Amino acid sequence: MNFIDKFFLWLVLLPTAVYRKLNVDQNQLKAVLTAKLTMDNRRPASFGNFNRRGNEKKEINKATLGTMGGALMMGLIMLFMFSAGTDMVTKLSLYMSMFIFMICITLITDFTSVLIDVRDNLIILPKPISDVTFVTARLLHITIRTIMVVAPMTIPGCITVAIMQGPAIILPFVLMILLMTLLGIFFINAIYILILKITTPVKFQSVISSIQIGFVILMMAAYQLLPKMMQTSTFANASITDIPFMQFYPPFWFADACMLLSGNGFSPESMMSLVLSIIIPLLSIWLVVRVFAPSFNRKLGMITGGTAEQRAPARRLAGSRKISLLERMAGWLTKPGAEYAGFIFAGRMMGRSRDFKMKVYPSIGYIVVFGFMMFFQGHSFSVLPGSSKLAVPLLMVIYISSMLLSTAMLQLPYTDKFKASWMFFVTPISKPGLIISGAVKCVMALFFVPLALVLIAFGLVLQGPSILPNLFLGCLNVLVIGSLIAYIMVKQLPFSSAQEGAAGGGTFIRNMLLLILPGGFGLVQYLLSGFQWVILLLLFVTAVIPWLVFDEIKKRDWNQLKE
Amino acid sequence: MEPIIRIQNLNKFYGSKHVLKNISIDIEPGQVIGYIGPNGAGKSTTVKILVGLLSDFTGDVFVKGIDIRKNPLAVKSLIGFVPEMAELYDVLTPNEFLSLMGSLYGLSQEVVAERAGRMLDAFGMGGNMDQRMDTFSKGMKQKVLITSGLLHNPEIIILDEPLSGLDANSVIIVKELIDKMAKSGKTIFYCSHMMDVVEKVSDRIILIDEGKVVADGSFEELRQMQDKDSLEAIFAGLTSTQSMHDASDKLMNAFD
Repeated sequence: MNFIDKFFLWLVLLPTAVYRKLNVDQNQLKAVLTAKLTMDNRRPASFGNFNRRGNEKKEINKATLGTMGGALMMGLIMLFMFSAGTDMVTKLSLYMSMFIFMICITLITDFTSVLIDVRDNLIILPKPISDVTFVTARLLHITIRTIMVVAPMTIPGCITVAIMQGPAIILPFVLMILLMTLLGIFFINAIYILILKITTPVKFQSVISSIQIGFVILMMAAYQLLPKMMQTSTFANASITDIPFMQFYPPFWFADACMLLSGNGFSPESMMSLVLSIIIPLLSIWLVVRVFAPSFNRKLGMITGGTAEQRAPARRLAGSRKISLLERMAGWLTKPGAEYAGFIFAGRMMGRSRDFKMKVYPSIGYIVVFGFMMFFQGHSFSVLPGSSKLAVPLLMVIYISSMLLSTAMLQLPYTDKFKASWMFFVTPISKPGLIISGAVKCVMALFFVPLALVLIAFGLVLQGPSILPNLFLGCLNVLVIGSLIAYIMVKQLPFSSAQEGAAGGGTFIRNMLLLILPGGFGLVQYLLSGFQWVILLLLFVTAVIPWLVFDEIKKRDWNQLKE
Repeated sequence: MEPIIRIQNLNKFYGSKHVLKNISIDIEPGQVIGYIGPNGAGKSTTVKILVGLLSDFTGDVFVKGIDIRKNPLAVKSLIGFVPEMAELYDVLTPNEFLSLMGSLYGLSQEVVAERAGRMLDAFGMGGNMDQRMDTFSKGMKQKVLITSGLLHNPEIIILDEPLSGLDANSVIIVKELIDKMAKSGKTIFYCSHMMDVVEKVSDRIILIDEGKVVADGSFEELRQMQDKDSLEAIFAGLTSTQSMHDASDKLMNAFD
């Protein structure tokens, strides 16, 4: 444990009276938390790295710093919320909305493995530990992890409000951020608990990832509505307090309470907000720990316990091997041998591995929501002379979808079952790059090509063939971006490494940073989109680049893999 | 005859820990080697070096005359490996997993499908070919692993606790299989803690302890040398520093 962990451990164990009241066994609580926090900082030795033992600590610290740096960046980006609205409560409400949105996304994409750690079933649950203690340990663990992301994310906002309102606001602001973080944690946790109450434990694992996708789409849609409302002239000069039922919108409570505590604007409504902003998070702790926890743990125990839903063995007819679509695609896109095997392997694992689905599938939600938003807002884009009206929103969707590609690629090396990768190391593979290349091609074939086809068909129907050069160029550019990201970032065999503990979380934040690359390509194409002949020329140049990059990936040798 | 596996002055360090100390072994084709030793003796490390998982050792390892360091791929093609822990990508079906393994060994899909089907049929798992392995028992997974190690018809087969989790009938099948494969000229390198099985299947038993070879010979030779009846007793005589009864007494006394 590093000193940050030790500090937080000490901090969360302070309210002994509360734990006694909740019937939490504090020795067990400390033991579980210590073990969890220690494990977060260690990565199990995988097949690549069992030769080196000494330097793992250093690596993790860098990962933690990277996460914190990314969170700081996000904090800076969120500052634009302060530019909207007429009064401080409105500005703060918008900021708080974005903040809780970020927390929920981070929790879903990065910390689900912490929330549902199936190893607990075998190690902790069989021991005489009460449900309350166990759930408290789990919640505190997540809280500590989240605060490591939340703290740097808060700094820019904190400085900004201090400049706008004076230093008196700093303490209330931090307090409200903390309470809101708690609310976010319990919100996500309560959702999981509810799902587990509705479905059977056996189905839980498959249900959870689809629920996640649905949830992210929902949040994304809600989040998209805010800026849209801000654009309308009636809203631009209005204050958030004029909107009916704002009292039911949690970020508003926190903003309102924050202003009240800093000595600005007392009213009965703001007193109400203050009460709600404190009571609701605490009430949700109580609900989760006392009411939901017992059945949650019992059901959680069944996730690994009762999987065997044995189907009757189906008799196979010899020689009746059907060639699947995946195999057909692999045949078209790869050379036989290791590259083919990599393609097929990645395709099957991406469709079935729970960790992969949990990390990557929610991103599909962004694309879907974004696609719809673009379609309905498309007419509001200023269009350069000569280019078509529809091209811009379609191209935006195409470029945004590169985010899904990069999410999938960055997740490609990771799985709980990383030890099963021994098979790549004992078989005669001359260049591991071949397997990586096959897997990356599969990511593109599954996560981009279908979308590209739909969009091209869409453009063709609505606009006619004149739109095609621009769309083709956009698609090719995404393939270029994808192959470059693969070349730079994918340096491990597919599904061969353990996910860096929760400390390495920050997938979402890193993805936001990866938007810069498509942004650059997109901007250039936007500026050039009026010049058809340039587009046609670029089309030929760009078509070559992915193949060149893939050739380089294929050449990757064993000693060029990341350990 | 030229040895099919030649290990010379093999040394391996984990950090400052010396785990293999000057091991030299020559193995003839068609031999069944029982490779035994207490926990932490260096068995797994030797196996990892032989299958190409570890490359930072000193000394020489030749497989069929090929230097494993110079041409690891050629060596890997010759070896079939059944690892100890049944770690598998269990969201795949046996069919998919075996076809992947086959591709990695450079076999055609038709050959893999044919062989995998016949081998799993022999294990009584023909009907499970297209079910995901995450619902399989340990023994079923082990059968798939054994199949995956034999798929490319390797000349050398390295088995690390291949019987773990198998039911009694499957144990008989595997034991007979080892016998038949050896008769057909294949070399078997068998690592195990199950002394009674090692005693029965091996032509030659190599016992290592603390990174050194402490005994090497047929069961008969070891028995005469040590004047003990069972391999278990020979093992205990050569490797333990204290009597087993002492240890179990101490364990019981820990509660006092």
